[in-house]
Amino acid sequence: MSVLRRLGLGGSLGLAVILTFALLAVAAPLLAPYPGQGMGDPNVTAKLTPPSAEFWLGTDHLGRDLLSRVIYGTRVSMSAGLMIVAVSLLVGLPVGLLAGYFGGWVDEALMRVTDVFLAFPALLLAVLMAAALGPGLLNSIVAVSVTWWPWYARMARAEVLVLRGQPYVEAARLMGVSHPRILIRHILPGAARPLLVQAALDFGPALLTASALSFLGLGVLPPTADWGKMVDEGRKFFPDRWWVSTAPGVAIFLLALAFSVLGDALRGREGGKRDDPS
Amino acid sequence: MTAPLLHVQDLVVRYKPRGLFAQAPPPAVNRVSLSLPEGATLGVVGESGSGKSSLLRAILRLVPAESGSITFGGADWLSLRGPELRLARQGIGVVAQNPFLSLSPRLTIAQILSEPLLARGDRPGPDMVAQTAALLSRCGLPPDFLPRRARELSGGQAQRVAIARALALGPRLLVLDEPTSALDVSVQAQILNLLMDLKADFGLSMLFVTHNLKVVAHISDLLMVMHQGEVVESGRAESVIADPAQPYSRALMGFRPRP
Repeated sequence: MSVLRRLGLGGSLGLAVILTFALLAVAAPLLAPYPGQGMGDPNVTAKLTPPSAEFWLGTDHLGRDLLSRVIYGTRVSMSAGLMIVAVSLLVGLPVGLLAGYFGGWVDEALMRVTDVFLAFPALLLAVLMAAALGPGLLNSIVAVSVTWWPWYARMARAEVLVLRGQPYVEAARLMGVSHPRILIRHILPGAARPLLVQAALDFGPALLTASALSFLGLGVLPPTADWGKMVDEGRKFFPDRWWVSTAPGVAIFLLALAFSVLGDALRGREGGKRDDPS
Repeated sequence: MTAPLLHVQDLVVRYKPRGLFAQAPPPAVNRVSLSLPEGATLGVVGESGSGKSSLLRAILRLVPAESGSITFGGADWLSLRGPELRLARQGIGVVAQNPFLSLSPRLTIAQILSEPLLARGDRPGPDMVAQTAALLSRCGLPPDFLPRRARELSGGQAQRVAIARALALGPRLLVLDEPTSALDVSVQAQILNLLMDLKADFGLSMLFVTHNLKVVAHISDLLMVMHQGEVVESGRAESVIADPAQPYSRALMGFRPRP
């Protein structure tokens, strides 16, 4: 298992936690003890029961099994994190590539727009966007992505500036290779790797921001299970009925930590490694 | 006499001043003229900072010329723009100093050699594979190098790949920027012999830039000595080497100063 050895103990544990959550997300209907409640069916006979053999993590104010809710919430959180990072990369990477490669006024124009987005505090801008777009999973993903892509644009630009001067890129220019092909074939593969590592690192914070939005009531709509929203719902019963907020809170904490640890392991191994031809 | 393949007239290259109020630096290339007849090899010699690399980069249109003119194949070379320049550049093959830097670390040798062919608009397929294999064998490497990557090669092998790539489009002019400086002495000789063979076979014209006089004396018909951005001496290679007129060239060739 050379992959695990390269990740080290922490990275491997992080990867294991992430894979476990991914499995929970994919197989939620099979693994959740009460799939119906996981999807939102109320169960008024068992409101706010503490953790027990029947409900391992207790139940919420509508009597729904928190374990099932947390398992279903994994789907929302994982897909939100993934989508935010993917959308941000999809926007930021091309912007950074073009700005770095062409330079001059293209660079100026693109990077000034990027700076405008960076000028706002990220969560504030996300809250504004989400409020303007209205609640909903898709809208909150868009809202967070709007604050996220400029970082990738900057990183991509910096990578391109290094790679653009490499003799092998110059050689491609001298052979008459077209600009799009130079960008995609000769520059992108070198620029993409550090960005992908950064994306893995960002998965945790993206997920946290998405959870924060739904905690503030700007994320998914009820009755869909979402960790941030569940923490918010449990707040009313805290600390007497502590388990309502604790279960989803611990889930957020675990997954964000796992991504952070895995990202660190990746960065340690790969991030600092540029093309070293010798 | 027919028109030269490459003609440079009074070329001036000057880099931009570094700071806002900094004085403009002296020109890196100062009113340099040269003529390269079809089929000939011109060696440009000079120590670091002599302007030979700047001259080369200006000829390759990697840095702008401040003034002067360049004609290549009878056409005005400096007025080419955008796609025109892109196509015209395919008439010049370039070999850089360090093959490990000039060959992409991520591509296989086959991909590296296909790149100029694809840039010309050739279709990928068995024909292209055969063509890349032929290029490689012409430069003294067997086709089983095709799936390998540059970093798996020795310096000499990698430089052969770089030369094969430069020849891929059948250029009229081969520009060599210190092509042997990063190599061992024994490998240098092999690469120089390869270049001589290629020159004989294809009737290539070559512009050969180096700080190493021994290397260039071996291969050049014409020789030009540069110092501080200016041409100090130029002429037929034998005569420049046998009897350098200028003190700087004499020093460079290892002559004692005249008493």
